[in-house]
Amino acid sequence: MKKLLCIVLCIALVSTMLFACSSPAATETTTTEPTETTETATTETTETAPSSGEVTTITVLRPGDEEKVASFMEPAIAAFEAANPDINVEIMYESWTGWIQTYPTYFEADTQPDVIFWWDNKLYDSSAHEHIVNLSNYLSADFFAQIPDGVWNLVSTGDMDGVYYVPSSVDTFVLYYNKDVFTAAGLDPNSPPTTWDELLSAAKTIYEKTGMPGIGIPAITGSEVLEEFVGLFLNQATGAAILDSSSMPQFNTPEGLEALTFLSQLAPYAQTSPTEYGRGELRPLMRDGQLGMLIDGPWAVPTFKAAYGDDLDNSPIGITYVPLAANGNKIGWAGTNGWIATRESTAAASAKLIEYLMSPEVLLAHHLAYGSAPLYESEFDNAAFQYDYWKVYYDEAQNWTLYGMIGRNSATPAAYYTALEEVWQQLVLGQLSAEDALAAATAAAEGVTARNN
Amino acid sequence: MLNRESLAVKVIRVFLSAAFCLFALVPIYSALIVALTPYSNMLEAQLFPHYFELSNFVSAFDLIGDNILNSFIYATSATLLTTAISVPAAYAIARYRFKFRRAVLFSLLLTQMMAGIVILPTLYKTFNALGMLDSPLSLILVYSAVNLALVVTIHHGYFASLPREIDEAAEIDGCNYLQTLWRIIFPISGPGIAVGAIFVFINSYNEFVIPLFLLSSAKQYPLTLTVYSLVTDTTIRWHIMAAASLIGIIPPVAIFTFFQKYIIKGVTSGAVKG
Amino acid sequence: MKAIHRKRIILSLLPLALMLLFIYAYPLLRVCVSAFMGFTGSSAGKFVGLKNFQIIQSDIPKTVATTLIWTFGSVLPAMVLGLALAVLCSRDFRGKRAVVSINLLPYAIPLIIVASCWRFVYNPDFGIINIFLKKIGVITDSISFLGYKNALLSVIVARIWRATPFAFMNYYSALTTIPAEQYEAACVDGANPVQRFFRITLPNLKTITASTLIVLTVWTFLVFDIIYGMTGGGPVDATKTISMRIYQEMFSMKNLGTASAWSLIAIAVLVTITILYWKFMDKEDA
Repeated sequence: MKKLLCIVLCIALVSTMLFACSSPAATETTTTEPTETTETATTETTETAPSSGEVTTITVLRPGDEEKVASFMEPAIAAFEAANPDINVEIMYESWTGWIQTYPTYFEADTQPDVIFWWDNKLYDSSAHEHIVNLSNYLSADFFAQIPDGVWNLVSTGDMDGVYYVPSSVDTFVLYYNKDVFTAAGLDPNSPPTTWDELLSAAKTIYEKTGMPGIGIPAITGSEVLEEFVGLFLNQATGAAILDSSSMPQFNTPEGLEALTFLSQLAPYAQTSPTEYGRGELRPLMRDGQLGMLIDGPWAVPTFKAAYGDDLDNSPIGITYVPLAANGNKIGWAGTNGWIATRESTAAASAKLIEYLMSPEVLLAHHLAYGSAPLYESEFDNAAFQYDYWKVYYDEAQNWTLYGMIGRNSATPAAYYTALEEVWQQLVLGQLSAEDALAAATAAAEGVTARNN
Repeated sequence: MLNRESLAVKVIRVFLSAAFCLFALVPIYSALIVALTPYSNMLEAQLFPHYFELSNFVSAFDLIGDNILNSFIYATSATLLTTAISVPAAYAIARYRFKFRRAVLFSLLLTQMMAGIVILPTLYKTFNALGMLDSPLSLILVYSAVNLALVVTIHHGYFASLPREIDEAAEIDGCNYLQTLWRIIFPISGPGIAVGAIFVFINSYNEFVIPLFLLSSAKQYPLTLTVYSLVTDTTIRWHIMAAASLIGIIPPVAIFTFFQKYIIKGVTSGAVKG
Repeated sequence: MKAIHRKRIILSLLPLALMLLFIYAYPLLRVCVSAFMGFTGSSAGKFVGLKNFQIIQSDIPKTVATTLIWTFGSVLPAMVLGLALAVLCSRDFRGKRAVVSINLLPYAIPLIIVASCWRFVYNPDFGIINIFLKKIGVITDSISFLGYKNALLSVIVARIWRATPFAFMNYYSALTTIPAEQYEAACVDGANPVQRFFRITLPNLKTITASTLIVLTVWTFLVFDIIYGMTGGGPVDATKTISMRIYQEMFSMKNLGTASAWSLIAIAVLVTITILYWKFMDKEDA
């Protein structure tokens, strides 16, 4: 009995040691599976680096599933280091959730990575803003030219003079629909809805004929998905971004009301209890034929590919453009992610790394590993992007007027999501009429802006 | 005469016991079913497991192995630090009547009642100013501080039950204060100290809010943060999350079950976190 | 008191005092100051009076109500269940040790994992309750346990699950201290088990009931992990308790002022309860 303390501590120490011994093995298994395409990237690097004695060490972070990130990042970094012996790169891993939770702490503590895969709407984020480095002097004009103009327009960084952010992936929404469900509901699986009216009637038909939800509405709490879903319809109807450059709401118009009215009509044909579903919960329903339609980004593709193989063109999953509002304007939602550098002292090395990560081979490997749509037209040369459905994403990004993520001019972008989410949840739950939701959302957005002034 | 039992009483007891156990086990059982199911079959209705995908546990362990190690390091350090601070303090409180004794006891009670979340925003700013954010050291300090009141209470109760003659005898033998504490009191207080240590260890291992505020680097995450970061990832990997949860609860559950008797004693000897 | 004793006391208590000052006293002081300071835009760094409270004013009634329902809705049932379980286990029977161990199990599980396990139970697509109810034909459509109407109740059930073992442990050991003679005397008087429970067991459990009630109340009041992990405070504001508000103001609104204002409200409640508890314990000791 007297030895109890010893026993407790011994157990703790022994287990500690056991885990210490077993963990190196654990890290090895997750990191040694480079994909075929990334190997090509490795062999094609022929740049010669200036040989100076000093070695700069920088850290790089691409949030996401460690396996996916490691599969393209590790070979790319190995090749980069080989070509640049004066730069030493450490790769960090964070899940998206973990990263969103903790990036303010990283920046406050000044322990953030030197190079980060960032969002275009968080350049003014009060935690990060003053850390983000202007890369104009470190990158060449040729480099900027290789990124399509449409993409640059999307990420105009307001009054931040210079290039602070290099867009690396553009994620647009498309309409996924399950052809089997369409057939079961007596709809033609080869002519998916192209307008809001058709969308509504298809959702209604599926709901009434099959008992399945016609459309999936991702409305789970604490995520950005619902605001992005509602925002898409508001963008289309109003032809404007959600917030203007001084972060004031622009949707309080008859067109905005039209969009919210449409959503309140659509909501009854969505899955029961929309607030229990995010996109991650809806995708398996679509995959298993328990949901008619789903508006989602290219991130949904891996879930469907896992079930039906690479060729989704010949699968039950249909992929088409997001239906248009009555005004017929080709306006879509898009979010971009891209690279930022966060320290002036390592900016030169960081810029070199960003340039390398944006080289076509690495970018292709990145997009393939993570399920993003092509950014360069040259990516279509790769076999994986040969299927027709990838054109849908590419077209959405190239040929549409795009309004991206909200809060880009604000010190607290996340606050708008939080404030608007409550209103949109009430709208899709039928607790607020379209008129009341419009007023409440306007007040909520103005409230957040007022707090920051 | 109290042992006479009708059949009805027996039936009721069996029924109630079963109901209570069912309630206690359902969430863990659910997690087990999910953990054994491959991702692609997740939507199937399963009252009993249809699949035995043990590789889920392997993938989960690959993901959280390092974090369990972190949790162990933090919890063990916090346990040692808390014990080191608490033993002399509790001994002084148990042995002496001094002016601010009640004030000390009241502040201890107050800290015990104060959940971390109310002070964490300002603590975050303080640590930030000191350059101590995202550091295991600050984490261990806070773990230790939030458990101090509880451990001092437990130690205090234990020391108060030791006969005073022991340390008087030690003093006569020429031991100074520290020697008395280290050579005489510490060795015979094993059970009391162990109960305190078990609580600090389990509480620290289970802590979520404090690292949520104070840590940022994923490689420093304790297990609890990593499990949560699986919840809302882009593709929700329910199976991995469930397997990680089940692996993660093994240490506290094992310690708890093994030391059950002492823990019940600790709970009743002083207020203990519920 | 001898000087040497004074020195010993001070040295013994010094580390404890430093810890509590650094981790509790100073941050608490800062909460009290920050609640009246501005942190955003033009008011940053200035004294703003009650402005932070005005900002959160409209949320206060609903949030406080939700917090109270959450607290008492989970504490009271947990205590009743804990007592029932303790009475059940107060006698020896075959398998008692297993029943005790199984029912103590939830107490050792991290709250955030409690949340994720209950999310599996409640899941509308593969949750075990929905599947079971569908199998026995009670329902055809899934119950949305974490939907707007049921969310608060559902998180409360998870909290009850985690709090019951604590009440159980307290009652279980308190029951062993009731002198057997009292029961024997009652038996001689011809009291049936129900009468014995109300005449002897309950009165003897008064003290433990009071302290368990207070302790569980205080700790449930600001539980964060379970709600954060299960609903994130939603849908809408269905499960937004004070602790959810503190977190939201701090990390989504990035406003230490309003976060501190919420903290101050919670602190006021906690300090009041602590003082009442202190007085109560004094009376019990006397």
